[in-house]
Amino acid sequence: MRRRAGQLCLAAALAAVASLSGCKTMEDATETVKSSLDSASETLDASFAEMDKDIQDELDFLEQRIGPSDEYVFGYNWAATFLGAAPLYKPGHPFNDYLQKVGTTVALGSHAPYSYKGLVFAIRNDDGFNAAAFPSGIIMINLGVLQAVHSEDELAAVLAHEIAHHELRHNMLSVAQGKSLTILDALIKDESQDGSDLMETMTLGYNRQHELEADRRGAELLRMAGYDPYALVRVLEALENKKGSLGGRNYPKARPVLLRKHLRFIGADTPADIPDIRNARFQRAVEGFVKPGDEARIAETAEASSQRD
Amino acid sequence: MWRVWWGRPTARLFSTALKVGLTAGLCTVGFGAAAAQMIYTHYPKPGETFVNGCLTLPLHAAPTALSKQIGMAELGGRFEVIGLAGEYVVPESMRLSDSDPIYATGKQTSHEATAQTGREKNVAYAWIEVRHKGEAAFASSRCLIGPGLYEQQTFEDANRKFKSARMGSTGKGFNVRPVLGRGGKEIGGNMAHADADAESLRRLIQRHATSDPHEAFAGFRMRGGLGEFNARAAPEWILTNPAADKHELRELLK
Repeated sequence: MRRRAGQLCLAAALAAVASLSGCKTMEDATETVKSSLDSASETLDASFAEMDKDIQDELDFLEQRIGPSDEYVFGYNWAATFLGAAPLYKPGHPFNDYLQKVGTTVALGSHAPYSYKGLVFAIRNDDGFNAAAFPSGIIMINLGVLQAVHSEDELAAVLAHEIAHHELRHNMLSVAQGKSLTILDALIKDESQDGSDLMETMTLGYNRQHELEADRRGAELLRMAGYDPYALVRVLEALENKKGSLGGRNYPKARPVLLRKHLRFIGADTPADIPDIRNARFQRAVEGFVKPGDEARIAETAEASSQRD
Repeated sequence: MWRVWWGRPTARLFSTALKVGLTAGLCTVGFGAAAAQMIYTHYPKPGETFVNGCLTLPLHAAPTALSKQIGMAELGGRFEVIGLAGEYVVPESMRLSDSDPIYATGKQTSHEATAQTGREKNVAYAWIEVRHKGEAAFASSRCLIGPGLYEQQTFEDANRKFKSARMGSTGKGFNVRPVLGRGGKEIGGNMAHADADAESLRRLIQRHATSDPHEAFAGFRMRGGLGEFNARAAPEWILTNPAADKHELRELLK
């Protein structure tokens, strides 16, 4: 549409210039230009009316016409493609049940506790530092992110950031803006592995505003759920230490500073005491899921990746 | 002469070119904020009937999913609306201004939009209060939708919407078989430029999607001191101003 608009403007300008260059007298020129401009204007008006129709179609799509099952279709198809690039990691392991409980606990405090089939959380067998929140609350975390997670609260922090994207509809906003395929393409091509512009921490790659909102909202969701919001800072620091980066181009360098400021507002600027039971059940759940060998492999990948950066 | 030469025709051309340019620009960057808020923003008025568009929907005693669960709605369940609850100011990424495309295209004015939606701009509601078996209950506004929209929740319509969402995208091949029709029957999904793994996803959802997460995981929350079992009350503005930035917070906390 943009290209067509540009072509139309160019055509109109050329028509006017061409008309002027062929004039012999001022009167002739006046009539010729009037005629050319009228003609060009009519053409543009007709084309603009066509564009109006296109815009109307798009607005019709956007206005109040995306229901829960529509969102599920979007999310399902995206997520299936995402899994096509890297499979689920040990989908039968009990850790997945635990992950579901932690994620659901965080989501229940949000403004989007339910979706068409309910929110679903999974680990994807990919060493990249990515996570993804698909429409309808299908949330996937790459195995690589788990290396920055050492407790239930930190796992909740990763999930909270993604749930915030879902709650604030950043994913459907990407659909509306036509960016979804670009993001998905980048994820599948694993651009993070060559140090380019995709998130290398835990998100799909929304814009900077979305990322900062998800950080703030993620901390709030942790606070409402009863988890330690400071855990999100710890995860970011762990990723920075392991990866030497806070993420792709969409993350400001001051991300942890901004997050800490927000934590002060929500009364969580110092680490809270975490009940032993939460740490104990995390250790039990993760047992046999990420093996020591896996951890070493992930660390090697992270090291190699940070050296490339 | 000047007026004859450059007056109406030129002004018209410039005006038209401006319209075209403006429109093209808006197509490129503008729909986001408008789009975000226009999705799911058809809030009902008291007395209207709204329909559950989710497979199952827990109903609560208060406008939070951490409150007592007092019922369960099935897909297609109809409810008389009592009112709206859980009011919040949408974060910056979802806000509308008078210069947003929804207005700039002349489709609506701010006042018209307010009149149509029955609410102030940039305000949303997380919960809808409904009548359930003669009692008041709260349902998530993410699942309750108008009867008109509910009728569109079909296999064909989801497919059409998914395809239309391609507009303005990278234009790469994207061949989709939607995954369900109304009633939740899953059909499977596929995308042309990637080998989608719909089967793994189907199994994942079948195993983990919980129709009743509030009840199913209550013990987990209780043992961990989480959710409704967490004694620390969160500031009220977390609910009313999600993801507010520091400038907004300063105003809120004055």
